[in-house]
Amino acid sequence: MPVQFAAKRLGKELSKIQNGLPPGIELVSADDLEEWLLDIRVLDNNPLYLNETYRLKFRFSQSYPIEPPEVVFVKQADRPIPVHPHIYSNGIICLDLLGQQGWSPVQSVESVCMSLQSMLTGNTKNERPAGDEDFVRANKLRPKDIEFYYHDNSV
Amino acid sequence: MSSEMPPPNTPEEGVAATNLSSRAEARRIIGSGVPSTIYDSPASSAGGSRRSSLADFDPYQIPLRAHTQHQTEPTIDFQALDYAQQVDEALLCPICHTPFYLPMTTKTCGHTFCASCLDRALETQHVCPIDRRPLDIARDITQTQTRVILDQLDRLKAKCPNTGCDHVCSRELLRSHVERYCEYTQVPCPDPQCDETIYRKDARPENGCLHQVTLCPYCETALTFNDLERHYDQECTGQEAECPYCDTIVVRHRLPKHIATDCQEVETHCKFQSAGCKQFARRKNIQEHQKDGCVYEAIAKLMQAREEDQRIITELKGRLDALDGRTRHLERYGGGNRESREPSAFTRAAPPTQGLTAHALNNLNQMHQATTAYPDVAEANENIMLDELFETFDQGNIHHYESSYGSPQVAPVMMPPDAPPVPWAQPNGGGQWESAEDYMLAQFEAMEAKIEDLRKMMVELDGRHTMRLVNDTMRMNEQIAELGSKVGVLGMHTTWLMSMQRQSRGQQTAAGGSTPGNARSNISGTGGGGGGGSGNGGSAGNNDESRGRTNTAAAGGSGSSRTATQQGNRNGGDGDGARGRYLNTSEVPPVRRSSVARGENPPRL
Repeated sequence: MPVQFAAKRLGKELSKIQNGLPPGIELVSADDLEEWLLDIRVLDNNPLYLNETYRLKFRFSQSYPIEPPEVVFVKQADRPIPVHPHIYSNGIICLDLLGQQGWSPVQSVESVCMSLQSMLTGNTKNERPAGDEDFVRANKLRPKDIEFYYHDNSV
Repeated sequence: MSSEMPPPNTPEEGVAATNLSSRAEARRIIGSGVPSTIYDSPASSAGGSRRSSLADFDPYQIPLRAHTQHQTEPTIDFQALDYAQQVDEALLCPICHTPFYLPMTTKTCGHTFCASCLDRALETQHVCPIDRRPLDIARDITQTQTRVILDQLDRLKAKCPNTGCDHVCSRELLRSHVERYCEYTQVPCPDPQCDETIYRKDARPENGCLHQVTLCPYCETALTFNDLERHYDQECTGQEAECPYCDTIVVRHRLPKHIATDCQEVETHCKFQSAGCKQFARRKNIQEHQKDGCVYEAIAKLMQAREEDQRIITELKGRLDALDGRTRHLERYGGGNRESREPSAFTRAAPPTQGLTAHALNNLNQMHQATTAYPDVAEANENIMLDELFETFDQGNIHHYESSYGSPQVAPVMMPPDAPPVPWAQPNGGGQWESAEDYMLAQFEAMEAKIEDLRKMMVELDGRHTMRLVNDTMRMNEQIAELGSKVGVLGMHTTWLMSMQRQSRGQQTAAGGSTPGNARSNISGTGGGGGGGSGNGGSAGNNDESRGRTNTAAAGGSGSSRTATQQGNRNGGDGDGARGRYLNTSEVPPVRRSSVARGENPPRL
């Protein structure tokens, strides 16, 4: 049943996405109901992200939307990882929205993309999170298993 | 109406359902994708008696799930439905993104979700999924009660979830469609020995069990009958045949169908042949011919329209017959021991004594004679007759009111028993009721007509009473007002006179020594003034003035003068000065004057 539920919900979301997305968000691929790729751009003239496009990878569990999807930035030749105090250089995002506690089943792929977009838009610090190098080197966990400490309420 | 199929959930169907074996109920399966493990339910292993033969089987008589033990199990996945219309986003559950099914609303923040979605969301955290307010599952969640929302949801046009079925209906009717009518619902195989399911459309007793394994005659694949059609269409790689007309290679089994509908080279008739088109050519030419516009197309459409008309006429005839039945009953019920007046059609003038109900029924009766005689103008007649019927009702009402108005008799609402004894007209030789429902319906309608009749009379009576009351009260009000003003005038006169009297007495007291003549004159003046109200005493006083004062006082001995004197006396008692004067003078004691007043009228000189 949960399998069907996730599939039905994702089917609905996909058909809605194919009907149109907010500006700056584009669907790259959604070949199955497990992993989707989307591109996002920052729309205003924030010099940190000007003229850059970033690629997001969504992975859905069978418990979606009760459980949050796993969302990371992926690095490609023309798709860098955005510099942000809450985004590690391996693409892992520290955002309570994507954690078990902050997630709500009323969120969707579209709303997550918009949240990330606004998170980048509002950022002025050209820096990585503290301990970025150590974390990137040492981390073997999947993003959802990492216990983040959400301390920054300004995002 | 009675000849139509009974609606779902009628008692009859319930009875029919209980006749089926418990095993059949337990094997009740809805939807094509349901795994067969559901067969092995406790009910099926309980070992109810199996259906004895194929002949018992009726795929439309499968009981509703409500009669089975699987009541809680959803038969349709409402969250997987496709809708035939655009659904307002406000009606979508924020969790599953489909229109709400069994919506629940939070009491604390008023957010709504499907029951199952909210259940699932609350498994992880006990907060509202939208605003994260803490939720007490037992206390803070309630079923959505708002009727408008539930109605909107019920009315959504949904597509039947069964593959192959293109039925669209409002969502609330979908369950009954799937469970009872849909040809593509999987039902148990008609063979009691077989545990498979099959489309309802194929579940015919005469087909037998379609699950026996057979070999495809062309490719020798082992298949069940059930799968054969699909196999020919999609899989069969067996013997192929060449179309003799167009050289296309098709599966042999499909050749007749290919020639009949698909082959472009075979010669065929225009599809408007039935309308008169004589075109006969190869299919591709015919198709061009039809595309360019066959001249017979218009005729075909006309004929189609005519068929539709015919159908409507037949239907209307059926309804007329039903109505006729009801009318016959109405006559029987209303006129069983009563008689109607002359039977001539379109009678307007009902005599005042004619019973209203009887006349109305008579008209109804005539109406049906007319309509059965001329079915083509039935509808027009019906309208005319109905109008007339209403007029009759009105006339009848007025008659009754006029006759009963102002008399203690009760208005003759029903036909009086001593009405002119003309036999009731009986069309078609007396009414035989087609069914008990018809009978009851007719009785019910007759009662309704009577009640309506009484109601109208009550209303009119009420109106008349109100009018009369208003009229009477108005007159009385006027009289009271008039009397009131007269009393006011009298009061003013009295006050004026009293003040006059006081004034003159005050003058007398001031004058000191008083003479009897003066006193008498004063009193007689009072008597004359008091009599002015009635007129007689006044004139008498004036006439007698020249004759002598004492006489004048005596002549005022009629009622009004006496009243005035006594009044003056009493009033005089009020003033101490006046009393003192009477006591002092003792010339005009009240006793003496009253004895004069009581005596016979003195002769007038």
